[in-house]
Amino acid sequence: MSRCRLALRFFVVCTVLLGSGVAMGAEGVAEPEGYWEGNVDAPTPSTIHGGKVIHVEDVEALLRQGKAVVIDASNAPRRPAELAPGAPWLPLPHRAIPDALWLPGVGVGTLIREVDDFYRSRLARATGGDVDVPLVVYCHEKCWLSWNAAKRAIGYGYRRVLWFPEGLEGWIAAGQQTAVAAPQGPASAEQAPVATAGNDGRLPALAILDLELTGDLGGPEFEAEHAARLKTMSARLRQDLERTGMYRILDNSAAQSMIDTLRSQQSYLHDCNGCDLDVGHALHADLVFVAWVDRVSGLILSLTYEIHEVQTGQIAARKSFDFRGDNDNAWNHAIDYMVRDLAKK
Amino acid sequence: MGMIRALLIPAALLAFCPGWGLNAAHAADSPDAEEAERTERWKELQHALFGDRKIQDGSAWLGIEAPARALDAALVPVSLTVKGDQAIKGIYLVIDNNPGPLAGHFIFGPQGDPHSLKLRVRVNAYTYMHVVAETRDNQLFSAARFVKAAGGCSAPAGADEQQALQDIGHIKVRLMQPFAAGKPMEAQIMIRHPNFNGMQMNQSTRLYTPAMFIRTIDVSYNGEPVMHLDSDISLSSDPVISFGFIPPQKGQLKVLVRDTKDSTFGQSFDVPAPAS
Repeated sequence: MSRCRLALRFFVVCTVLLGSGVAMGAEGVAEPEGYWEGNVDAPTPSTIHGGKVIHVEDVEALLRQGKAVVIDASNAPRRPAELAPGAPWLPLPHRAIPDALWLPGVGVGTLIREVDDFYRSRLARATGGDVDVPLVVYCHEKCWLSWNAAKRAIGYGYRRVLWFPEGLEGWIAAGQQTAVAAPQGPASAEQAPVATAGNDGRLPALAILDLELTGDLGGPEFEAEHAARLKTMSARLRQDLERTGMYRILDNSAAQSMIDTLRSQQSYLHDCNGCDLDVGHALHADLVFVAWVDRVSGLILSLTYEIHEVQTGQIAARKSFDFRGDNDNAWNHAIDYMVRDLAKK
Repeated sequence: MGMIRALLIPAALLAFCPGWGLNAAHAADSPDAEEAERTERWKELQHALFGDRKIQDGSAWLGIEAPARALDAALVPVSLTVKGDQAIKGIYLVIDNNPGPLAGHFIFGPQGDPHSLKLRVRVNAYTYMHVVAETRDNQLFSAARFVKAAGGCSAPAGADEQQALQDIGHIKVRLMQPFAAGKPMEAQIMIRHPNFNGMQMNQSTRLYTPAMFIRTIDVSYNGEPVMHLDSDISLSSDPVISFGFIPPQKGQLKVLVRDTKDSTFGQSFDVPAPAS
């Protein structure tokens, strides 16, 4: 291990500890109450509540008995989107403890529902639904992913969760064999219709701009009503989209001042020569979702959405839906229908 | 902010951590087996990068120097040398075990001098590095060097992110020899650019900094090409590159840098440098 990595890790630990108020006792790092949300490449506690810490010889014995299910929670590489189209991207094959299930992503601090469901069902399948089957969970040395993944398995009700903190480095250093493993992840995440972010189970990061109203606005007496409706409907849209599990929905607050400025300059952010992409960039989004209601009259309206790819500026998806009635009920229906339709793709 | 943190971190973590911590990759096997694997990897890469073209042993005249054990995996100095009078069209630097193994492809123009190149790269795992030279008659030659360094791809950029971005595109040139018309001379260019590779974490926000890196560097002398570099995420932040050129007379050395945001940074320098 290079010195810089050690130095980096030390620095990270110190800042993380200061930042999150986790106490460091004589034993080293204390267990956080929930899942670890900080840098995963950092020193870990020496315990896991509800589970047991094991070492190389224990893992070896369990493997020999052939009863344990071994989970590798380490990360999978992803090709940066900015790499030139022809540039080779050939990450090394992933080495794992023989017969381990490599489930990248199950050890992050906050799981999206798809991955949570996947992890739960994958464990159930591997153990035949028997919560007494020993589960060995590891990633790398000084890596929180396995700690989180083990804690999660304990939460699922497994009674013999064995955390192997020395991880792959410890395994290799002890002279043990490794085998090349292929990553496993939730199928639905890989098939997300407009996933531009690769095929490793990572959900595309979606920035959602508030709904906008175009067409015949009906005069000043409708102004307050419309403003309130746009607000509640935008929140509903956001909720519905989040519920599809197809996207990682981003919080807009980091770019709020930018959004406010653009609003004061542009009539509509869904149609402003790509200014929505700037917001997407600022939020590190893969995709930006814009939607607007075109009001032909108090009776005839249509709802349209577009999904823009932040990197390319291209429209990944677009669809319009007609609906009747400028009232909360009709808008609700339109939005729910639109999101259902989007999720069906 | 709490919400952003909760949402962004997991996916970011999922996203970029190739071979994270795989320092002593596959040490379980015997040294021979390891070596065989490395040979296999190089074969694969040859095929991916050069197809069926034959690569001959160039170690008699082609050199690649790097510290056997690098102090900083994010800043591994590499020196590529060509001895003799081979007519060289271009030079490839391959870092076998980096996820993006092709670190750079240098193409020399009429004013270029391929005898010496120096640059600093990121190294993600213990690896062989290969230099591949392409001659003007389209033959390929290679030489190799083993380097022990790991983690350079996720090491944080040295400076504060904002500050690194403020000075972006600032270019300096140092001429390493006094000017003599028609005589080869070495120039060192220093480019202020964070060259974010998407694997670095911002230490205060704990979010991964999106990739933004130099795609090409073009150097010309009085309008004649000296060197073109197609680079990649393996180039260190604030790249420092030394190369040779042959100035037929006094003139101007021009450096043009383009990054993945399609920002271009250019600057011209007098040769010889004005007396200070």
